[in-house]
Amino acid sequence: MMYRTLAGGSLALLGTLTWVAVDDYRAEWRDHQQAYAALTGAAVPIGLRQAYVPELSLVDRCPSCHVGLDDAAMATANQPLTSHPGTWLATHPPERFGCTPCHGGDGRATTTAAAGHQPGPDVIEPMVSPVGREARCGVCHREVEVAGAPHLSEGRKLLKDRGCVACHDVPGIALDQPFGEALDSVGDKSSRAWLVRWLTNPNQVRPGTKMPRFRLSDADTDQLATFLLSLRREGLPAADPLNEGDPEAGRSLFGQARCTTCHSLKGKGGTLGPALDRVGEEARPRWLVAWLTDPHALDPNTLMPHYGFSRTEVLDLAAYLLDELIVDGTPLPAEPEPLGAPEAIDAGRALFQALGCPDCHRLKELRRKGQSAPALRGIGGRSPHRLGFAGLPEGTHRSLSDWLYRKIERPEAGFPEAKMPQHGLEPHAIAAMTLALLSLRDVSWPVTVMPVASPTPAFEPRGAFGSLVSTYRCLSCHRLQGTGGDLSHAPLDREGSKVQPEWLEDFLVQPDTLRVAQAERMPNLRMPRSDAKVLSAIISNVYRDDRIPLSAPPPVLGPEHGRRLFDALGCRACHLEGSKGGYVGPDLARSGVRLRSGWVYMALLNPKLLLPDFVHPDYALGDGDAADLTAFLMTLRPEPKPSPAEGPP
Amino acid sequence: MKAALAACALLVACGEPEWAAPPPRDGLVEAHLRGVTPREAGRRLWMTHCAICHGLEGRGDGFNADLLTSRPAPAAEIVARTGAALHAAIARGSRAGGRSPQCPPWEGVLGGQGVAEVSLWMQQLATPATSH
Amino acid sequence: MAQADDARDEGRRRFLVKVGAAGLAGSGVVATLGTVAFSDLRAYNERSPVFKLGRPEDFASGTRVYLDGPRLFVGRDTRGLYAVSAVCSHLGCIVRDGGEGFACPCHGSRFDARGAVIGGPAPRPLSYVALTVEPNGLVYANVASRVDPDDRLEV
Repeated sequence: MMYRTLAGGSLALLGTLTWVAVDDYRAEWRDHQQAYAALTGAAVPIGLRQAYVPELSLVDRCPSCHVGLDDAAMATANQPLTSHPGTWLATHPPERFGCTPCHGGDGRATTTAAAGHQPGPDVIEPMVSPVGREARCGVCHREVEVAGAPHLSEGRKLLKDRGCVACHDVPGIALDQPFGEALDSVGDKSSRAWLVRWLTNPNQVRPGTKMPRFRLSDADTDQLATFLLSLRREGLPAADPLNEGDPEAGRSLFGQARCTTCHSLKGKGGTLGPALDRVGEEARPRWLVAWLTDPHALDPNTLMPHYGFSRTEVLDLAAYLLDELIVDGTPLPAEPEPLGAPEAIDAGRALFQALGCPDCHRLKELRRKGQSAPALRGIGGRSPHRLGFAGLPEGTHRSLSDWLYRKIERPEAGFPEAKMPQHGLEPHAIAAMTLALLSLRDVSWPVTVMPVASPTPAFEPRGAFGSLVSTYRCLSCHRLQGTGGDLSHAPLDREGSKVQPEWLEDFLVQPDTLRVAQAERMPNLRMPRSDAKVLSAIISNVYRDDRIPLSAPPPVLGPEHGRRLFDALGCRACHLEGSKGGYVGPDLARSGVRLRSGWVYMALLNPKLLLPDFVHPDYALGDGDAADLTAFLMTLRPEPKPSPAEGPP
Repeated sequence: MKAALAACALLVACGEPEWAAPPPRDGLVEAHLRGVTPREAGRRLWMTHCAICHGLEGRGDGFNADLLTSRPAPAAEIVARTGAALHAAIARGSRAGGRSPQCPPWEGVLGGQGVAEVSLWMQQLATPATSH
Repeated sequence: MAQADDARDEGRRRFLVKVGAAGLAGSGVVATLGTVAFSDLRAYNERSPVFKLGRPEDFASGTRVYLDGPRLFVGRDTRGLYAVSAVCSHLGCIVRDGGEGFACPCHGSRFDARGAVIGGPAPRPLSYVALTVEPNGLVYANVASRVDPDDRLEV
């Protein structure tokens, strides 16, 4: 018996040891490397491969199996041998950045399961999905717009546009100016009934508004309204537009000034400003007249330009807005409501502060004490094991990303004590914002591997130009030096290379319609010629692109050849020339006085670069053809009007 | 003992580990941020670049259609006429096809991929009785 | 009968002892080999001496460029590609390429175009390192493997 045990035991030991040795030798990666050798037909040294990056404390052994990742010939091979798609390896060589900073997972692992390709009970950090990878881009790339990461960029823009960063501190994203409307004169403007309706459900009053819905009791709403109605401004001049103004003249002025570029009526028009369908129920006459006369006096941060309306025009416009734009209510009485009791006002003020309202709505009478909501730095690195998932809707994975999504979607579900209001966002927007939050991870990586963040101080034009740009709020719609709105397709940075100064001056005084099909048109700001002269001179001389010459090279075959090209290429399908042509592109009848020839020439040669926001085809014109076509376009001028000075005495 | 040896041999000889691509893990973020399908990309390009003449539904009744010297063809007609050459027709424009020059060549701004996406959407528009 | 049984038991015992001894001996051999193999690590926690340099056509004939990662001058002449270490053999500063030769900014060592010392405190010439082309078509340098200054990689 003893002998048998000895013999059996020793054989079992031998077998076990052999099995351990063979099992250790038979690693997964060895098979993949042999498969790679068989595919390439070359001698491949078999061995563990790794990216070792001490700066990031990284040992990523992914290349042991993904052995063809930098071999372009493996583009069509199956995983794990396939080459890395795109040009990412050229910009992010694994020798410097490893694999896991972008892909997640456990880099030291040498088996598929342990590397965390799929989440599992033993996987501490699973790999991230292709979409989730964009959040990894954002860990190092902290600017708002990250090339190659569209969802992340969208999410970061939304964090800014939807005002998240007004209440939360988000590293790298800051507001250029207060987010909400100034409320210093809201007591002169509104009624209790309107305020209660607004506070109860802002989206019902103004669909698409960025004001979130707070979970307020009726008593809270009433207190807030009492406080808001106490915010008055001394000395608003008396005005009675309903009796003094002419609503019909106001209606035509409303159209002329192109108010619908920013405001909508019956769902048609812009979204930069509030919809005006029910403005007659919201604003009192005296306040509206003061606002139309000089909006910047009431709200120094509004996007609305200061129009150069005359007193009569203001009264006409106010009469139209108050008289016509009421859906089913009655216009507000001229006099503001009586003030509430001082205790009620104080209670309302305390609630106003407790809810964090001053984060968006600055008040002269209230000092802000920092942001009211938690800072979000490092939120993307929180462990899901420390988060509460109780009360969250079904279908929520126990992951940080799902938790953040639910928190933005419905802050009150699962987080009953949270103050955060409901923002009524689309699922797509919530997902993009979640990505942006996931990118907020604190990493202690050395500056040598981090991208150089170009500091972009907010551009603020100064001097005479600055004050005109501010008066007319050019940057509410136009971009300039990286700031400004995106309503306009004409960024001002190279406008000086594009248009002729005389035309620009005339255009600012009286903006003609260039693109009939476009709803958002330059408003008629009633700008005095003196202001237009200054703006035109500075834009023409300062905001030029050095790559664009002022003049085109001389034509090769002459403008006649250009005309034939114009006909042959079918330019008229989109552009008006004379009385014929399409409405897609701008009217070219005045090109000769509107555009600089150098710009026309360069735009014809490279429409993708100079007309990125326009649907302009690239005809792949030669230099000569482009010069001839430019020469022809520059002959297009309006018939000279006989000016009184040149006429017979 | 034989059984033990056989077991050892079996363990040594057992087959290659088959590498399977892991199934996608869908969190809420992934579920709502799916990549745009080529056809959807084609629809968007159609709306920005083509619909103004050829019409939103591809019936040749766009906003700009009345201003052209000859009416733009409906999508179905273009697909039927060009067949396999649809890509080339979009890429090089109507002039290259021996017709009026009113539809410009789009390859320069849309690129080969953009043209392919538009072709996909035009084929969708040309398929009768489908909801899109 | 009993004797025959004893003899058979004896034979069986001897056989079992042999099998047992062989098994133990075999286990010992496998365990020793395993231990030896284990001590030969498959991967080290250190920077690999092998650096990816790029595609062969990235290096034009008659030129020589400095690569920051591996600290190498990689150049091509009429005979092929070569890589010379930029680390001065004196105290390890990075030498400058003066076209005709190399000069060390720290203590003034000078080397000729082949890397031989022509002045200064450097004790040895600059070393040439081995270049290979991997199946993926890219050139790799192993800075731990020195080669003769006249060796060239012909690609």
